[in-house]
Order: sequence, then C-alpha cells, then structure tokens
Amino acid sequence: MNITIAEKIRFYYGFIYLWHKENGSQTIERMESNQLNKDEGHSARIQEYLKIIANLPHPSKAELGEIYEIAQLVRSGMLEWNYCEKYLIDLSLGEVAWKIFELKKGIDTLPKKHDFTRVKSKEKYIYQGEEYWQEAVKSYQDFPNNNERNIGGRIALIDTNWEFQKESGLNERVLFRDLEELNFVEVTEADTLNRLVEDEQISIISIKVK
Amino acid sequence: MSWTTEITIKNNLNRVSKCKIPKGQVFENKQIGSGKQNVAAAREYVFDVPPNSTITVEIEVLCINQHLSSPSGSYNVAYFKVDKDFNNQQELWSIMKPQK
Repeated sequence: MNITIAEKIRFYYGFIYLWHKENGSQTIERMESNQLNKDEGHSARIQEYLKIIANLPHPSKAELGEIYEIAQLVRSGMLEWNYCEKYLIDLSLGEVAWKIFELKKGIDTLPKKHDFTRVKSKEKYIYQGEEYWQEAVKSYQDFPNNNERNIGGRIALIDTNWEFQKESGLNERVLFRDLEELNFVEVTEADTLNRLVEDEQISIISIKVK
Repeated sequence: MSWTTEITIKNNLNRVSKCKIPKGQVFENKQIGSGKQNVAAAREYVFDVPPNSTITVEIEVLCINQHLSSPSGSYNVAYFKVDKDFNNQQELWSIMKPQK
C-alpha cells in the first residue's frame, strides 16, 4: 500500500490531538500549580489553551498547514506544557512534533518540476530487436517513473520511439528521440492530474484500461 | 475505436480538489516490452474530488501506438501529453509518426 507523506503527518498529529482531547485537564492543573506562572496573564493563558484544544482539527480533516502550526505549539508554545507526555506509542508529544517537521522536509524537497532536458536525443548504431529494449532503458533512464505512485512516462517514450524507428525505415542506426521529437509536450498547467499527484494533493490508487 | 480508462484517485486534502485531465494526456502501460498500446485522453476532463474522499472516474482514450496490441491492465499517468490536436483515432496515429 502506498502511504503518502501527508498521511504519515496526519497519523502522527493524531497522537497530539488525542492526548489533548482526552487529557487537557492535566494541562490546566499544571498551569494552575505553577506559581511562577500566576501573573496577570494566567487566566488568559488558560483560556487560550482551552480555545486551542476546542479548535483542534480532527486528524482526518486537518490541513497540513494547520498541523504544522499545532506541532510548533508543541515544540515551543501553548502546547509545550505536555511536551514529555506519551500516548500509545513510545514517543513523547515533543518527539512526535519533531517527527512531523522531519516529514514536512520530505514534502518540501519533493521535486516540483522535472528537468526533461536530461532526456536528450541520442543516436546509436545497434541491431534492433532485443538490443533495442536494452539500449532504450539506458537512454531513457533519467526520465522519472514511479509505478507505486502510478506516474511516469518512460515506457510510453520507449514504445513510441520504437514505432518511430520502424516508420523511419532506418536500419541499425537507432535514434532515441526526446519528448519534442516524439510529438509530446510536458503537462505544466496547475490542477492537472499529474501536478496534483506531484504535490501529494491527490493519490492515484489505480489506473486501468478496459 | 476508443477505450475506457478507469482512474481511482484519493483527495488528501480537507477541501475539494479540482482536477483536470487535458486532451492528449498520455497514460502508459506499466510493463516494459508488454507490446500493449499506450493511450491518450480523447478530450479534456475536469471534475471535483470531494475532501478526503476516493472516487473513480471513467474517461475515453485513444491508442497512440498503431503497431502495438490492444490496451489493457494497469497504467501510469505520464508527465506529458500529445502536443498536437486530433479528432479521432486515425488523426492521432498520423500525428504519432516521424516527420518525413
């Protein structure tokens, strides 16, 4: 099963959410018992905490941005009071918050746009047949392909180039053409299926031709 | 002759996602050397995916590799589309040939 980074972030956020929903009263007790905290802003801080807890978004519906804000409050903010508490797993809420930010780095560094210029047109002198497929795999190896996420294009390039080769009537001299020469163009518009998958807004479960 | 492609997708967000499949969007068969045709969307499709939901949409596709066998099985969405307009299978096959 393909679990996205976004799903992992929501999973970890669930521990913060559940702990505070079930044990929020412990935070109030800690705030009450902390003499250093009993200044003019004391009751306002308690009210602020209660407001945050009341408005915690459910893990299945939370936007990633909301989760990052809450995780930041656990690291250094109103939810830091319970930094060391553990809930169901052997990680403290503070460690869970750090885990969320580690995962966020994974999303931030996902390739947003591929450099298709690396797939240059190449010319080889080879016999066709089995040798074609071996050379084609090498020639198009830079083209991104991810069968688990159901996104790619390398095989379509290899197959289409093979057809172009047959149509060209060339013997032995095989060209491995780039996107443009194969009459393809990169899809760059926002909100297209491949862009949404790249940004992890959408996961493709399956694509089947019938 | 056209074919039907069934796409099952999940919206990971807590809001509606508008999703577009441009005309000519290529879908590749997953298995190298299978001899099965790769396909392209016959027209543009735009649809909404409800928040945190999984939906299945069916789209009409045409084949892009005239000499390969009929398409079937599991496919990937490609990062590219056919860069010229076409109205039917024959026109698409004509596009997918080298310029003489």
